[in-house]
Amino acid sequence: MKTWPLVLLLLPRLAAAAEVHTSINDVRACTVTPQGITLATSGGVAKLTKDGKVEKVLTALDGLPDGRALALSGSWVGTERGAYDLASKRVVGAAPVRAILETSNETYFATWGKGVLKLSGGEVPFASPTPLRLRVSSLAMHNGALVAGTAGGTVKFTDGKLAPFGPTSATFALATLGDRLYVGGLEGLVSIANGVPRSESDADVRALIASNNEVLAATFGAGVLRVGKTVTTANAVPFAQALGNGCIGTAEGVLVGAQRFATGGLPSPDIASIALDGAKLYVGTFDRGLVVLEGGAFRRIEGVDKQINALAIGHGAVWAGTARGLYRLKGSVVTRFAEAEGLPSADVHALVALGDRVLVGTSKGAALVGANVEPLGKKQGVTGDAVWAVAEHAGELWLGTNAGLFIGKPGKPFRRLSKLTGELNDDWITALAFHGDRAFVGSYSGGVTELTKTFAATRLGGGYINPDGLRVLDGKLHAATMDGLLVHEGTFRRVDKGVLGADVTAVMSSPKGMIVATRRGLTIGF
Amino acid sequence: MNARAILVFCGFVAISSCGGRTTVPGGHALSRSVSVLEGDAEVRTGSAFSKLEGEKTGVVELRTATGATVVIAGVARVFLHAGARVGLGEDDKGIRLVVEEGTVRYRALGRANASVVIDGGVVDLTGRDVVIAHGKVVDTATHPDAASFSFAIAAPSAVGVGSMETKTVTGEKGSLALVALNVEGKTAGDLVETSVEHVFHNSTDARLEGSFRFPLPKGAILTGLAMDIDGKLMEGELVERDKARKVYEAIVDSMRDPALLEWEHGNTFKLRVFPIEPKSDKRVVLRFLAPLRDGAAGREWVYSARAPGMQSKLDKFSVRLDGKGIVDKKAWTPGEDVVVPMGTYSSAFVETRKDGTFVAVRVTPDWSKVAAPPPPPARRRVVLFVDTSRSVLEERTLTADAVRSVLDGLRPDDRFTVLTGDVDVRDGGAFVAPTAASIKSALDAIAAIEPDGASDLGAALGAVGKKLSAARAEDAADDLELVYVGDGTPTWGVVEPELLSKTASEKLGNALFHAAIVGKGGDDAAVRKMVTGRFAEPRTKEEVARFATAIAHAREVKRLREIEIDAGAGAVVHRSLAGNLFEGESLELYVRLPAGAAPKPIALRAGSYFQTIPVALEPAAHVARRWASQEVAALEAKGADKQAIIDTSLAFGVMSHHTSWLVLESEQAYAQWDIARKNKGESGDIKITGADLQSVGAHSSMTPDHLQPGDPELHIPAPADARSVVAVLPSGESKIAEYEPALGKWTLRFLVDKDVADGTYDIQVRIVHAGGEVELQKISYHVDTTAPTFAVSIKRVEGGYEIKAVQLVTDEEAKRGLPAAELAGANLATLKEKYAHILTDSKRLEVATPDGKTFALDGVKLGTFRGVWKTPPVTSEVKLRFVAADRALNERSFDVTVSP
Repeated sequence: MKTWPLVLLLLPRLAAAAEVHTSINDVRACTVTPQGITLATSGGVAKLTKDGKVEKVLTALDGLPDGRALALSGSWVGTERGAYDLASKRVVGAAPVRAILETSNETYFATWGKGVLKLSGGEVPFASPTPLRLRVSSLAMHNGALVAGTAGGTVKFTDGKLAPFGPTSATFALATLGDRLYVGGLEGLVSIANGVPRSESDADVRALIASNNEVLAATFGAGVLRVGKTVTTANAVPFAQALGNGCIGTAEGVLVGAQRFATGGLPSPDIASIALDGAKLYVGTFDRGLVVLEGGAFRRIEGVDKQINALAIGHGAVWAGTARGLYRLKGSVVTRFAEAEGLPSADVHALVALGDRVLVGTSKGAALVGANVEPLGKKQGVTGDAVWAVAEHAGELWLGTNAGLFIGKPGKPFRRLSKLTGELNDDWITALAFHGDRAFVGSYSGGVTELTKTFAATRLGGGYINPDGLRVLDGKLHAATMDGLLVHEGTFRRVDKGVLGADVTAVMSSPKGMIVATRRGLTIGF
Repeated sequence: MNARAILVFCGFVAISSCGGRTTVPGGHALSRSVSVLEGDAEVRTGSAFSKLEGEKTGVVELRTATGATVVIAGVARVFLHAGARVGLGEDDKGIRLVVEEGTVRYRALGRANASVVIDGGVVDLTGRDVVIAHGKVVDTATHPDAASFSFAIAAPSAVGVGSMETKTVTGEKGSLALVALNVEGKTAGDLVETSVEHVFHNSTDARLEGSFRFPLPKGAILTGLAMDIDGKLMEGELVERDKARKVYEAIVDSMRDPALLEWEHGNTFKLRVFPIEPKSDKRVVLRFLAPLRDGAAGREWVYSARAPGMQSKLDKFSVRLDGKGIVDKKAWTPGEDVVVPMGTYSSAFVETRKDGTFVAVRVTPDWSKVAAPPPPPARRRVVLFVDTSRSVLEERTLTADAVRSVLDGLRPDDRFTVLTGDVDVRDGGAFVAPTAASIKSALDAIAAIEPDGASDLGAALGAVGKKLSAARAEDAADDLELVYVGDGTPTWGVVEPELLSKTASEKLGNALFHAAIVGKGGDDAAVRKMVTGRFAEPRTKEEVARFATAIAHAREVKRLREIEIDAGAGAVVHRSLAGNLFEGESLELYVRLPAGAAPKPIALRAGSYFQTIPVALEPAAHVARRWASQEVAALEAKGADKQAIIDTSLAFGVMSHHTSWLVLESEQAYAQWDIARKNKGESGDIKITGADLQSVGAHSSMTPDHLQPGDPELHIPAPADARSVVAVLPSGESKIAEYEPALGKWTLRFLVDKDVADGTYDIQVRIVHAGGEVELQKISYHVDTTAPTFAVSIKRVEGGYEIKAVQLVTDEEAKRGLPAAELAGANLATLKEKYAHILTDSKRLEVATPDGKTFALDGVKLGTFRGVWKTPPVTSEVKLRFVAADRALNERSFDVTVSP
């Protein structure tokens, strides 16, 4: 197997210092042409040379409605938020487009939740639309009729409408060879000819392609099947999810012939947390682990649970809060803290480095971690269970929970601010930031509340504030929210420049400029 | 449980429908007075019932709703079970009874003629002690369990129901209300695996520490403890006692919620729990193996739910057996046993394990082959010896109960005297008749002695011997008996059992020697050896009442003495009864054979009586445990090496005085403290955790769970060696799960996007097992972004305003919250009720008053909250601010106006 590491991507049309980092390993669709390889990935559309060198990656910054690309056909890209024509820059629809079928007189888009759209306008009607049937994942033409694979089974265009036809279980993939229709899904592969079904395999089929007079099936767990046989590829591909002409898409890169092309960069574009330690940027992903960007390259950090929730730098160490424990990385030594070490829970939501300790928020209370672990919670009158935000301000600890905000010092009762007491409009506190003697309290769905020293409250709005999503940068409050990056200048306004996705998970400043992390990757220096 | 004595025919001795008129058995109303001793009874002297107060003559009918003991002067004590109704009358032949409803015990006080009309005939009751139920008459002497209800009327016990005492962090004491009691039974051989869920409610604003005390039924084996921690039922582990206490105390100051269950004394256990949060429930589940009881009509499962000293009502009480509902009550008043007839049962069970073959056999001798005892003397002379040494200090109450019960069991012609002793023996005086005054005097004398010092059994026997000699001299025809109440452990003077036994033979002669062992005795072997009558180790008032009844009839029933058991080479045998076996009793044998050994017939010898017990054994669970329970008791009784007791206790999962149950908050905590897990209690359901996004890692239910958009986890219980586990999410994304050895599950986490509409969504899971088999599963979750709404009512009560709030579920919310498949064609109101537990999702309701105070309302039941705002009456309109939150953490605030 030949692996081609991805070189740090610098898009020439942007400012020299600006960086875009995403991941193109999760390949949802692929095509191979004489000019090269095109991939639809969860981090964008990637164009590779024939020998796997990345030429460019197109993201939302390049006009894609969404950085998560799901389908390819000609110049069309199906994304999480509609289909996009790379040539004309036209956008069709707003629902996820999982398949595109171009025929001689129409282009069809399989949407997840909105049925089948036509380029010429409108939707292909369903005979009996149900929520499941409107979730379409695949399209094919069979004997001149349109066939759609949906979460509620297969449907075929008959008498002017798409009507149930064939298997009724969730269908992921369709292909036709001659007059036989191949239908693949969670319950296996079936082929139908003259209305007679035939079971071909019980594998979990995710993609089908008819090529060279045979049908190939990409499966989850059984490799790539040549219908009627099992193909043993040069590289074992247990989980294949896409098939193109001459390529196999997996969650770990693409196979072209016997070669696998995968990047060594971000393991996933879905970023949960970031932390800067000098010139090193630590990036924690939702469920693909922790990496560090240093000297232009990403390096994976081993020994840490893959589900990163929070990161902090302090006391000469990197701290990672994960769903399975708190990790301290000091040099090459990784130390884990969980209930056995005194934490209220191994599910760590929030972190902040204090003077000589780290304040940790977990799903069952908070704790100060230093030479020993000192829990903070019920004994201090902190009645909320989960602690989602932690901070120290003016000598006091601030704990944002699902039952309001608790402020105090260890060993003494904490004061509670809540919706009931009037200071807050949402008790689920997700983020905290401070500027001078002003505090900004972010909540799950109630936006941001500004508090004075005497806890007089002002509602600033802002919507859904992501955990640790508040920062004061250049004197302005920035909010990482589920609806984008907001900056408060008298009122909140949305910032789109340099933002790869709508769900912004972190924002911070760096010597290179602002770092914005989203669920579609991160940018630096926009 | 209603039973009717069958009517004979009109005009004779029948009550009830006889052309619509009732007649009196025997033709005449009672000439003797009737008075109530315990409980509440009503009598009918004319056409109507009236409460029985004082003494009444002319009584023709008795009834009670809750149970009562009634005295027919000079004739009998009549114990009426709750709901019983008895027709009374008399003629020249004596007193006549007809049991119209329920169960009745008739205990003759003398030799007055009496009879009961039953099943077409007349049964003589003269001088007898019988239980009449289901159209049958059984002697109490040979069916003591049938009379259990009567012991309870006199001496109600709290067996089966626990009580929670509390204290605040500042030391203020209190108690918690028990709001629900749910009993689940499952038959296992001749036992019932019983699981009792107690739900306590802390309605105070203070965080409490709780001590939960509960007595186990006689013969029950405690097998498990679980406690609700953050919505998850955590199973406890049996741990060496010192270690368990050390772990508990080491972590009780942290945020974790440990619980420690220790054997306190007798059959009372104590569970320590901290913290019990303000305005919250605490759910504790106890599991034990309960033996069946011999009722009048066969074997019975009895759940005793009498609870003196506790609250008079429970919000909810339910009993189920093998999945069938037996009792399901709201606003239930404790006071009765729940009795379920179980029919006939096999009497021999076997369990084969790697460490042995275990057999449990119930032996009922062929009493027809045992010589009947001679007719008992007309009068009993009882010497009561009451141990007043230090070791009975904690059982003074039980000792007094035992004395009272024994003396109450005497007939007017009988005589008694009381001796007390420790290192010295105190003579209570001459034999006297058992009157109210003499009994009181005896009890007062005992109460005046502060238990202290050692026990000189030898001196006691000497003193008793003198008393008995004096009694013989007065009247050689009397039946002489010694009733010993104490811990049975000689610690002064002669202590060797053989020597004491010899002394007993010499001093007591043919007097029956009964013993009730109470107190913290280390070794009662000496007394066991000496006993020629009844032997008991009572732990409750009811058990002492049973003992007293048994000894009252000891002379009347057949018995086997010095029983020997041969169960084959290598067998270790324990028996349920020490000492003699009396007719009406069954002997249970618990045998351990070497591993691989096949059980052989068991030989029983007692003097000239010989019986071979065949071994048609039925496989059953818990047989080894039953043996081990006896083994542990035997090891403790003989003061065996503590480690041996601990090892046996832990190996078999039966409690000892050196082991305790410990509940820790998480599996990791057990690992941290190096406690092996045998009782994880995990289910095989797929779970979504963090369903309400407030505590990821805590398991939630499998039915649609409530969550707002976010990132929950999916836990799938597939085998570690499965080839793959894949979840297809409603968003169309697929995720591959990874196996987590620490959890023993496959897990993944996924995102529920902000724009996902409220509703129920399905995840499909495909598991490919190691052998290639494919398993498909589905789990649903519920996205809920709608805050709960409430209807609030406020009314003035003493000291404040009572606030009641009930969550309202609109039709729209119901449609959003239920799966589409359920909605199709169904009646929405019916669905709302059926799925109330899903739709009624409010979790918290808090109030802020105009003066800035805040408090939370108590969740009294699903969707209903209640509380009291303590304040003087308002003089002008004021607003109360409410904040409600549901399980998905949606919140709503609203104001309610309170007007003067």
